Amino acid sequence: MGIEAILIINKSGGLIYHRSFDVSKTNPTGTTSKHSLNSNDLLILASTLHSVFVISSQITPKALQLSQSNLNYTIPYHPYVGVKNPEKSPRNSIPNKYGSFKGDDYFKEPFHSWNKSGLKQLSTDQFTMYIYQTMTGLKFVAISSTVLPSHNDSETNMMNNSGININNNSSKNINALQYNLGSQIADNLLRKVYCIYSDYVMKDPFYSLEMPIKSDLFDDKVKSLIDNLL
Amino acid sequence: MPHQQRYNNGSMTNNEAIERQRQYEMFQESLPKVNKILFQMILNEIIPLSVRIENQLTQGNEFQNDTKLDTLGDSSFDKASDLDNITKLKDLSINAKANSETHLGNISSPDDVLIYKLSQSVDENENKYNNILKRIRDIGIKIGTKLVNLLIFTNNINLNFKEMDLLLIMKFICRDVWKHVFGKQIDNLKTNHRGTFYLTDLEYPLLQSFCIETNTIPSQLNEEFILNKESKLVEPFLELPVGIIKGVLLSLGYPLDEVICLATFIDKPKERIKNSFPKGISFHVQITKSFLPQQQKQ
Amino acid sequence: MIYSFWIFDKHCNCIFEREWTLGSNTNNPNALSSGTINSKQNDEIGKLLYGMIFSLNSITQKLSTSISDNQINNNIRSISTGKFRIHTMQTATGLWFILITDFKQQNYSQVLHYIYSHIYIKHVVHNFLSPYDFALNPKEQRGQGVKKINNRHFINTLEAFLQSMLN
Repeated sequence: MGIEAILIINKSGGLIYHRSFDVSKTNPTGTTSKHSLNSNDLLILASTLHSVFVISSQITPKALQLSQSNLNYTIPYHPYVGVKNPEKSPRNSIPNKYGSFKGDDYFKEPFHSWNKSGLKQLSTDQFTMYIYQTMTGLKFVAISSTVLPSHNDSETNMMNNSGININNNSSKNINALQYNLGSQIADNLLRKVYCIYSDYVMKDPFYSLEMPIKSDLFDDKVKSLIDNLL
Repeated sequence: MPHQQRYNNGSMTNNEAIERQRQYEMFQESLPKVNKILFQMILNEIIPLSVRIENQLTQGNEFQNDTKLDTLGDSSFDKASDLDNITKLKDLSINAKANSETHLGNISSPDDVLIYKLSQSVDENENKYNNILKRIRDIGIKIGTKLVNLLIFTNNINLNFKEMDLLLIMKFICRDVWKHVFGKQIDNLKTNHRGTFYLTDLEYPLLQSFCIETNTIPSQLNEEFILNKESKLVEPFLELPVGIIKGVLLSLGYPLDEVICLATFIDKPKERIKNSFPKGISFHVQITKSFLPQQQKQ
Repeated sequence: MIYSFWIFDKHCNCIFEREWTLGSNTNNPNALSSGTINSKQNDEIGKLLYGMIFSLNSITQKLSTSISDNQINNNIRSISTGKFRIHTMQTATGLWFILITDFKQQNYSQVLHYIYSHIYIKHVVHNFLSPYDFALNPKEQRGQGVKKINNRHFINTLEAFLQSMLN
C-alpha cells in the first residue's frame, strides 16, 4: 500500500498536520506532480472532509434505520503493519525500544471502531482515502495510491502496489477481501499513527491543543512507520 | 434460397442467380453505412420540425396581418413598401425568437413540449393541425419516391420492376422498403385482391421507446387513460410511414389521389408487450381506381 | 442488498429516486419489493447526498495528478461509511447515477453503466415524449427543479433489472 499523504484533522475541522510521502519509485511514469496543493487548498480539503463526515450520518437509508443492523464494528488486528517484524529481519540487532506494555508491535488485539456512521473510505480513479476517527473526535486521514479495481481497470492494476501480497489470484477479480482488507489495514495503520500521536504530541508540554503539530519526533516516527510499509 | 424465386423471370440459371446474389450482397456490405440510432432520431425529429416550421410561417402571417391593419387608416403611407420593409426586417434576425407566443408554443421549445401542445391544439385549430400532418406526410412522400429510384438501381436481382403488379408492389414495400428505412420487414400483409391491403407492423421501430411522462407515479393513474393519451400524442408520428407508402406507390405509377392510406393502432399479442410501446400499427391502403396494372416505366 | 438508487442531472436536481425499505419477499418472487419512488420526503436527503458527492468530487478533482499531455480525470467511484456504501458514476453529460448499498458487493460500476447505457438512454433519451432537460425554466436550473422521471417503461425496466440484486 503506497501511502501518499497523512492528514490529521482536529475536532472542529481544522487541519493540524499534513505530510506527503514520495512514492515515485513505485510510480511507473515517474514524472507526475503529485498533490501540488497549496496550504489553502489543504485547509479547504480538511474542512470539507469534516463537514461531509457529519452529513454522511444523516443520509442513512431508511432500510438501515428500520432494521436491526448487526454490523460488526470490530476491526481485526493485522500484525506488523508499519513495524518491522523481528522474525523476518533478524539482522536488526537494535533492541526494541517500545515500552513493555506495547511489546514489539503497538497493539496486538482487534479493536473496536469508533467510526460507525461517519465517512470511512473514499475510492476514486486515482487514489483511495481512508479516514479513522478517534473517540475524541480527531480524524486521521490516509491517502493511498492503490486504486481499488473495477471491471475495466487494466491500467490501474499496474499502479496497484504489491505491498500486500495476500491476493495471489488474478487481480482482475474483484475480491471481497481486497476492498475490506485495504480498509482494515488502513485502520490498523492509522491507529498506530494515533498511538504515535498520543506519545509524541500529547506528552509534549509545549503543545497547545487543537493547534498545528510541529514536532520533529512525531515527524520522524510517522516517516519510519510509513517507510516500513513498503 | 426461397426469396430468390420471388421476382425471378426465369431467364437466368440458378448458378448465375446465386452468383449475382452474392455480388449484390457484397456490394451492399461495401456501401458506407449510417448509424442506425442517429438515423432513427432524425426521422423522428421530422415531426417536431414540421410543427416548428408551421409555427414560424403562421406567425409571420399574423405579424403581417397586424401591420396591415395598422396602415389601413393612413392612406399617405405607401403600403406596399411598408410591408416590404417589415418582411426585410423580419428576415434580418438570426435568432428567430417569436415576439408573441402562439398557442402552439415558442419556436425554440423543446421537442416534447411541442408534441404535447400539438395534441392539445387538435380541437382549437384543426386547420393548423391538418397542415402539420400534411407537411409530415409530404416529407414521407418525398422519401418514398426517392427511395424507389435508388432501389431500382441497386442491381438486386430479386427486384424486377418490369412485371410488377399491385400485389408485388405491396410485397416490395413490405420487404425491401421497410427493411431499408426501418431495419425490419412488415409483419403481416393482408389483401382482398381487389385493391385493398392491410399492412401490419407490430413493432414499429421509431416508436418503441416512446412513453408518456406523467406528473405522478404511473401506478397511481388509470392505465386506460394513459394509453389513450399516449395514442393521441403519437398520432402525428404515423404520418411519416403513411407518406412513405404513398410515395412508393406514386413513383410506381399510382397517383396520390387514387391511393388512400390510413394508419391505426392495433393491439399487440400479449407476449410482445414488455416495456415498449404497447401498440402496433396497421396501415390500410386502398387503390380507388381500377386495380388493372398500370403502364410501368422503367 | 441495495437500499436506494438516485439520478441527478447537471442542474443539481434529483430527477429520479427509488428507495427499497424491505427485502423482496422470498415466498413470492414476483411481488415488487416495497419502497418509494420519487417521494417528497426524500427531497432533503437527496440534496444532502448531492451536496456531499459534489463537494467530495471537487476535492478529488483538485487532488488529481495532472500529467501534462493527457488530463486524467479523477472521478469518485465509491464512498463508504461504517454502515453503508455509496457507489457513483458520472456521465460525460453531467448526470450522476448513485446506488446506496450494503457491503456485500464491492463494485457496482458495471451495474451503473448498464443502467445508463441501456435503460436510461432507451427510455428517456430516445423517447420523444419525455423531456431531455428536466429543468422547465431557468429558475429550476440551480437545484430548485421538481420534475422527475415518471416514465412507466423506465421504472419497470429498472425494477426488473435491479430486482435480482436486492438481496
